[in-house]
Amino acid sequence: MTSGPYNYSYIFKYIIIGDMGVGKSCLLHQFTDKKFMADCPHTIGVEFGTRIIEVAGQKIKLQIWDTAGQERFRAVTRSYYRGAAGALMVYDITRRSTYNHLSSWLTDTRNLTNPSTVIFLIGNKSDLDGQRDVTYEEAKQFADENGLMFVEASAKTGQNVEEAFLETAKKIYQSIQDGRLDLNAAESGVQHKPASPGRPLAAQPPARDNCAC
Amino acid sequence: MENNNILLCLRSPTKDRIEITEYDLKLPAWSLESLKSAAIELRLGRPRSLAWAIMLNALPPPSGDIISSLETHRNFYNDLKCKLSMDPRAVIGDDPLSQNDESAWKQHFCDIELKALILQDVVRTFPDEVYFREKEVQDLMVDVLFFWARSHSHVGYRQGMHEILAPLLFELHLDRKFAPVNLSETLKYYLDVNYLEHHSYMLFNAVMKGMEKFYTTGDVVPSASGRLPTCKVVHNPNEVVRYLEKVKDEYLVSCDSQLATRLVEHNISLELFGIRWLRLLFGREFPRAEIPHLWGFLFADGPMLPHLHYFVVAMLVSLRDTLLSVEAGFALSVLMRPSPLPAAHVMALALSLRRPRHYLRPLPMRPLAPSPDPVPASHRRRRSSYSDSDTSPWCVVPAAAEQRSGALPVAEAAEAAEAAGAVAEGVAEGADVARELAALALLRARLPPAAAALHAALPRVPPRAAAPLHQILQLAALLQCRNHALVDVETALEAAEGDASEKVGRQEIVPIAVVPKRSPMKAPTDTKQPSGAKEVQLKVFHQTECKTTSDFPFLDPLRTRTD
Repeated sequence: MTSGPYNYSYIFKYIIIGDMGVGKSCLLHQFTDKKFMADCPHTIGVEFGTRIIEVAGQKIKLQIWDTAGQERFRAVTRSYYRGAAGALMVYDITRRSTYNHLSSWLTDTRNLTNPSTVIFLIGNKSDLDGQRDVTYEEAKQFADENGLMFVEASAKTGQNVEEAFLETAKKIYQSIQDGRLDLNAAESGVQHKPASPGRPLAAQPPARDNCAC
Repeated sequence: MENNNILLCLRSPTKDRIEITEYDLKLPAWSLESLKSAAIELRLGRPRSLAWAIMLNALPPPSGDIISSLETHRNFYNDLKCKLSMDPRAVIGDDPLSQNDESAWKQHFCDIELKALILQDVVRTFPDEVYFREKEVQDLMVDVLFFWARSHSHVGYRQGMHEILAPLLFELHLDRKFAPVNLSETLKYYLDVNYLEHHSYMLFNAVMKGMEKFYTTGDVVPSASGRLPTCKVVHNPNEVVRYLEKVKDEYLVSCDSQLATRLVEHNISLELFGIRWLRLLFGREFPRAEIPHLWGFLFADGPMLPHLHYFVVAMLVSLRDTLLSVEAGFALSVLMRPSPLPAAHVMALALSLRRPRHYLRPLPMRPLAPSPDPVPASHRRRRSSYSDSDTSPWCVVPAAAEQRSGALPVAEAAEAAEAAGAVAEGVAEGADVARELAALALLRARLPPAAAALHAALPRVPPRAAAPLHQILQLAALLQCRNHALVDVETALEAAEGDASEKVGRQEIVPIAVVPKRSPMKAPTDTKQPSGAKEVQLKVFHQTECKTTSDFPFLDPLRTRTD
């Protein structure tokens, strides 16, 4: 039960963004439940999911905020996005328009998150290669130019989904190890081992004694 | 049976109940007032969509001219369609490459894009409901949403609107499907299948009058093709976010400050789930079969939905025990998923918050134990789809009530809850028993006179009401004949039902075991009793504090009496 002792050392906060219908919620379900939801209802406002993963022997709880594609940061206050350690930016490889909108998503993300937020670009629906509208090469180039991590994935088959979430976590963890990510910063999107239940999330005193940095 | 208890709480004590006959627009049953009280008591008859339209002021009640009003709506929609579907080729001096905002061609291409955007959502509407897989139905939805968005350009089309339209359309459909052969002229006109789209627009437009503020996006206006521009500056909060803040600051704080404080401590703001609650009018928070009753209840307030905030507060308060006892992430996950309680319970709570002197507060129900790991809400949404049958889950009371006994339908004194400011339930271990005893005392004081009044007011009892009325009278008699003897019982400090030991002390009193035989009610504690017993087993012990029945304990009697 959740009120029992915590069995993880960190909480990383993620957001998933991208145009409507690119499969954000499906990626989340695939990652948290290892299932594909063919008829996933639209996200209105936000939803969230969690999963505990392990990076370098440390248990990390991922708290993933799934946003409504049509909202573009507006419905829910920006503070929820600002405190994100990782942002998964998703487009649909079979719909060019969703790729074309990436630059405005990226602008929004950069404006509303902090500089150390790890942004991971995901080209979803890689199982529909026959209907491909965006090549791997051009997306890879876009990612490189903007310093993003990139992978093509399929929420349907599960291909590369784990990888995307885990690689993001590794990168964030690396930033903590390198000292690039300041755990004391209110909006780092990372919490060290949580305090007793019932405390506000944001007001937890950073416990640095176990930290390797 | 829990539903019965809730239904009792939804009844207005002052109004006479007028039975509504299906597909028969007789007055006064179909008067606005009568429809509203029927909607609040969850017993609207078919055509339900017509009742909604009347309550939302889209159509007059049958005392007015429904037919001519419908004709006006149909003509309006036809004109709107005609005006907004202009063929750009017919416009002289315009060309397809024009980027001029006035250009009919540019508008035409934007319209195509907007329709595609809407279709993308419409095809995903209620995936488990076969009706919405039909192409004609999807096309109808796209048209209604498109013409509404075009004629309300300051709002445009936003995701979620399709889930407002869909339940409306489905009721319109069911009203036609269940219609008997011989109908009055008005009903024939209303139920004409050729005008399903027109009537959908009429109803959707009426609902959106109160809802559109939840869909606007600050001062940002969507483009003609339905997209929002990239955000460059810090935007104003949405109206829906402001609304939710107001609900918290003005209503939740005064109604349950402890809960409001806890949400703030947990850093949980209402918008995280409240946007979905409001934009979909709680459509995903309850099983879909409950939605028509819920919406009827909400529409009873008229098109601007002025009392919606009470329902928002009731949603939160109904989960308070859970929310107060778990950690932040968990509390949030409870709020992010559909309500574990039936909609009728939350409606009864909302009514009692709004008019504490008129409506009794429903007893808190035990929500289901939340599972430890939050699963995205969409996973659990499809708990039940629309029931195609017309039997309401709530309105079949009498027969079922005879069969099984449930918790005592105790209603706390709403005035007391109001006076106390905070809710007094679930205070500490053992307090449950005390509260139930207090409630029982209240019941004893209130039920017999209420039952007598009810009996007097109904000289000729309608057949469906006969059985429950009989039961109520029986119960009242049961309570009444023991009344003088039971006064002492209210002084109980602790109850351990079924306790056979002879230990008796001032602090240990074992007073009540109500044994139901034919009644739908039994004592609030859940111990099973032998079914053969006929009357209340009663042990009365020394301590006496309550001298009169008016002295019944409203608040936490355990605490006050052990002091």
